[in-house]
Amino acid sequence: MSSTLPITDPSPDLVGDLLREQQSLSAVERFSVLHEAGNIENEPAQARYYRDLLPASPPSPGQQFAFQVDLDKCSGCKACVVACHTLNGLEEDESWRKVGTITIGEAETDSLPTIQHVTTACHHCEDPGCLNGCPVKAYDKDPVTGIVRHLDDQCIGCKYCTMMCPYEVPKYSDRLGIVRKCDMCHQRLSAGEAPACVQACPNEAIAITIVDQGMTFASDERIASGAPLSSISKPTTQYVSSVSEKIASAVPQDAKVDHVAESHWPLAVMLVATQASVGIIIAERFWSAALVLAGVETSIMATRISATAALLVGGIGLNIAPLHLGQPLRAWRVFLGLKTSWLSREAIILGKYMGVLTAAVVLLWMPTFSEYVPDIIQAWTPDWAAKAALGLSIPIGIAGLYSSAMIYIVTRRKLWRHSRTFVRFLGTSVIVGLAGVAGIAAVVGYGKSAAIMGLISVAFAVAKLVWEYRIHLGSGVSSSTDDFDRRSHRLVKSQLSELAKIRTISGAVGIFVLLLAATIAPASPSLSGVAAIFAAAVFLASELAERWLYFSSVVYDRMPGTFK
Amino acid sequence: MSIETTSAKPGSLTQSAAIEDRKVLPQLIQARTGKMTRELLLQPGSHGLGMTHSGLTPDATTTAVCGYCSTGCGLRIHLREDEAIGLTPETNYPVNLGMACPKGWEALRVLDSDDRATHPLIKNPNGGFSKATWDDALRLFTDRFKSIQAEHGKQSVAFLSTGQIPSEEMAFLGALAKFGMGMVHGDGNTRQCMATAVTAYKESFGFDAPPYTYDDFEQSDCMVFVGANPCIGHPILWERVLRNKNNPEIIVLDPRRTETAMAASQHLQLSPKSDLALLYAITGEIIRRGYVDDSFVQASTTGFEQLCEHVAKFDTESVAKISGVSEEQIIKAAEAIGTGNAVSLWWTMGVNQSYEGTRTAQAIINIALITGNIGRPGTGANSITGQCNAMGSRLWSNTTNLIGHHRFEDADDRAKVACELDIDIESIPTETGWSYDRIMEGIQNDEIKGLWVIATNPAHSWIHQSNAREILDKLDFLVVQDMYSSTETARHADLVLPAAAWGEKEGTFINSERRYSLLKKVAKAPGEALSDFNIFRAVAHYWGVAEMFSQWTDPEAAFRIMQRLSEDKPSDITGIDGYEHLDDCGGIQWPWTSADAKQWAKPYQQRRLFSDSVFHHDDGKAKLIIDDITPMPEPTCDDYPTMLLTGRGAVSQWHTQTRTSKSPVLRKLYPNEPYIEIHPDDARSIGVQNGEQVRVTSRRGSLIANAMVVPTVKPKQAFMPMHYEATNQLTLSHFDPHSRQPSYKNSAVRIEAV
Repeated sequence: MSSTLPITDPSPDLVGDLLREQQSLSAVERFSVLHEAGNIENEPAQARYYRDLLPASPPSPGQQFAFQVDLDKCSGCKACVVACHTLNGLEEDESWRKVGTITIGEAETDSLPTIQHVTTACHHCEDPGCLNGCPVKAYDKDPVTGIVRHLDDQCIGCKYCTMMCPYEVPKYSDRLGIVRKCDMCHQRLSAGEAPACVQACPNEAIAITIVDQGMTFASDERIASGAPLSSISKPTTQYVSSVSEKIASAVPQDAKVDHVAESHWPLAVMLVATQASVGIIIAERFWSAALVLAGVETSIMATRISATAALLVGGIGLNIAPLHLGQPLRAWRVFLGLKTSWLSREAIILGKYMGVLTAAVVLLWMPTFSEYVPDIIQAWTPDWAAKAALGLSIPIGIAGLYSSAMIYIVTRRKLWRHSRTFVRFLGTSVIVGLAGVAGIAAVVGYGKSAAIMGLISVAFAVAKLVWEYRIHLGSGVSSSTDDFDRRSHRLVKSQLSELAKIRTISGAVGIFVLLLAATIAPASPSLSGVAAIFAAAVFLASELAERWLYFSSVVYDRMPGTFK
Repeated sequence: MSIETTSAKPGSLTQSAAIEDRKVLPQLIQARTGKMTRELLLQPGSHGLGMTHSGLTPDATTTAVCGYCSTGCGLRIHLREDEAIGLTPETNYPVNLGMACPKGWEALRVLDSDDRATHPLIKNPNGGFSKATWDDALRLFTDRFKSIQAEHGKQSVAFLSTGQIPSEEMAFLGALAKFGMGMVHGDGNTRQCMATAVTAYKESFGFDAPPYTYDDFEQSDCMVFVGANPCIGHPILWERVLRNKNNPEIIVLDPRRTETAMAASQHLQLSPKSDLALLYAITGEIIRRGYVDDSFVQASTTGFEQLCEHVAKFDTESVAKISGVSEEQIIKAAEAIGTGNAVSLWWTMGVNQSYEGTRTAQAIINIALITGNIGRPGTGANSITGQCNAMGSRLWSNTTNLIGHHRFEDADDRAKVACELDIDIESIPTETGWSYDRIMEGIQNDEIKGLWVIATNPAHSWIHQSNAREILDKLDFLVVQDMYSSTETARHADLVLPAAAWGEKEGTFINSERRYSLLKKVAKAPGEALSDFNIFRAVAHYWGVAEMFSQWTDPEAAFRIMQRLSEDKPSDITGIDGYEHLDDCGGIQWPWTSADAKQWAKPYQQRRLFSDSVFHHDDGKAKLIIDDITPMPEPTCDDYPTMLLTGRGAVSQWHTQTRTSKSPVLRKLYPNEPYIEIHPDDARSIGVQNGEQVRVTSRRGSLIANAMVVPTVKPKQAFMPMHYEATNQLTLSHFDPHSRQPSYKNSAVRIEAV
């Protein structure tokens, strides 16, 4: 490279000088610094803009604070979202406010189409789902202000509040292993200052107001179009608009646009495993009872193997569950929520179930290692103790399963309603329990029993798969009249199609193998046993896929959002 | 409830004597405090800040003007040991009154990014980039550009600049490139946003003089917004509209039902590019109905008779048919404008980015002039500017105007500039250089072989993108000077020069209401990035013209040069006493002459132009300028049945998103994937549901976007934000003949389900 024009040699180290100058920030000293440290004014400078947006005094008894949003004033700038993020020192992409968009009307209707932004944060509900669901009392409804506060150091990171809150308010932080949420800037209100969002709205669209508690809501009332039913948790936020009727019928920008929900896979594993565990115990007890009634000799070995298998499967499930917790070391407080939280109940009851089952297994096997057991223990252990413990594990296990189901049912998500949840959870117990015990029965030589149990399991497995086809796996769902089913089906067909395929194929394989096993059971019980146990394992995996879908494909009412 | 409550602590809103403290569980059982709780602890803030968390607690604060749009908000920078730790909007700033939009709130965050250019980068033979020293980079820069000039003539190297750098840097660049390096052609990305307003004002008023002050938003009793969506484009200006206590009539002309249209009392949802005809029809109704301010027209305007004759051709009935706006609506709007006491008319990109934008802007100016709505509080024909320093570019970039709003063709002006800059008059070109589109054409025709791009991103933003990229690849040598090395344009560069950004350097921006405000150096530039000003100093040295620019030692010195150049111009700022004065006053609007400074101790914060009804043409009158309407160059047809409009998407997106995409919290505030707004009827006819993908095809290109099915666009029209890289693959390259501004908002496309 050559130049035809001369290059003047620069000063010895011009670039060095410039680089040094660039790194010096002393320039600021040249300007008068507006507020010297220690020059504390009577009130914050910004107070002049927010003074009228705050009540003059705290709420009286029977009242509480609430956000009031004047939709006519909101122009959709979203400064509230960023101010919340900045002024509260939240994580990089964390904010406790979000803004959704709705459009009103189509051109052919009489009124002109309109666009409206809806800013939303925690609604500081009168009957907060988060608080009711929390297993460790990490939520507190302030007795003076009614503000629903989250106790960050109490939270175990179980994320149950993210399901219990109808409005998706608590958000989980991977860094902290807990959720965090809006506290209406409680600390600012304590100093007589406005919350960050109130301070930052250029149009004074957000204010704090006082509302009377004891609110009643019509059964179909919602605070915004597409939002969850207000009767669920009694939200206090007041949306004010000159066209509130039109807004109620508006279409959210993200209408029909759903995203795959969190799989909660450790929970899915735990649910399927504990349900299988209880199912095995029940199947084996019923089988033994049937044998007694039929006058056939029962097999203690079958009982021992079944109980042990149930303990193993349940134990694995319950040991995987804590992987779901962000702060497992705090989980010992899980009993605190017993009064209101089905999660507390589930944890306690399934814990007891495992205890009783462990005792049963030990007692069942005790005769085989009696020479190692002190006589005094053997003397004090009656013969019926093992069977009693096993029998006792059944009602406890069922109570545990019931609690598991209620955890999801009380979220009031329609796709997790009673019928949808119980069919799944009990189905898992019956199908895997019977298949497993059929296998064990065959292995210990009860070919006929195995055949019968295998066929019943196959019948249930077929029925459940058909049912799932009709509610979200099959193509017929797209014409369903149920909007949730259609939305969920769309997710299953698009983003979850692999998982749906796994569920279907594994279910079919399980059914086929178990059918085969049942057919050959009378003739060749041991081969049939191996096949049936294999089928049970396939069913277990298949049910896990079903449960994964249960979590991932859930859709529900939500506050208006935007495209992602 | 009538229970007396008294706060237990003065001022507290969370403690009540009426409610007894509950028993709380012990900390061991229920941890009400701890490490995680403390993470969000707020403390009473000093510096007038109120409760503040530790990450934002300053030991000093200072105010700097925001570096995104032309609103020019004051941001209170929180400093610890002279370095910025965060910011909040400045409560006392006369522009934004303690508020900011999300971009402003996140202005510091985007400085911290892996994409920052930290070292000069030279393209290596395998197409990648290698780090280089400044010495190597500047030698290469000088060597290559000088060789090209030696071979193809001085005019074969050009520059493309920006509305995003301070006035001092624009002035330095313009002077260095044209007077020092012998370039003839240079333009800015302001061509894409403001050229139309500039041309319209110059022709109508005799000077590029937006006459208003933001207080006018609060003083009007009738506001007309043409092709403007301040709710999204300028949210802090919308704040001022909402503070208007006169219950103003708000009239919006926009093809879409925007947020602003929603808030209007009259929305004239005109068909795209029928604005000029519609404005002429409104003008006709104003004249017919006797709302003309005859004495003002007589004393202060020329061309009224021709205007009357011309608009008579645009009868309301036929314009109603063309525009899709009913006769009643047209008359109602004319009535509101005619009967208003203080009517202000505002326009933004819907007008500027149009193939007949200059005449449209002038149709707006005409309405203000004939109704006498200028020079009084709450009036004016007011262009809301786009970029933070587009106004600075208009005065100081040395492109369309000889530096300081002088004329290249005028020997006296050249002599004045040569004298004030202490340079040889022969080094000043005697003709105005090419506009942006002509420079691009020049590259295509091998007339331009070297290009220096500063703080702009043509490979994303220039109209008809695929062609623009081919053009950039034709260059012998392309230098891109930017704060990020990852811009679409940098990918085409032969040399990337790392620039310090807003917050890492000093200078002044001029906002929409002509206010000079300071930006400040409160953060350290990453690596070896240098301020554009310092890069220009270094280039001057390496080019061998250091002597010529020895006055340009620092931004404030450049500001003093600018002050001298402004003397006796309508934009005179000789009365400003340096940066400290600007800082003390919360910015100062031009003009502020030394005579003003002698008369008044402090500039009044809300000053507007033309209160004396004297304009800048030789006869002191404003011109009423009219023209025939021109047909749309690419009307829709059977193959391309949909008219594509483009524009601002969300408040949190800025231009080509080089900056806004670097903030995690901003990214959450707008759709990250490209989307296109289509009407439910159109969605039904192509069988697409909300959120599903569509293919959008024009004669120039094709892209995939998510369909946002909304009734706020009309059937057979679609809207796509300009922020997505793909958008300009569709746009038709055509320009306003007077301003040379690209017309981005009318391209025929076809939309199909994927």
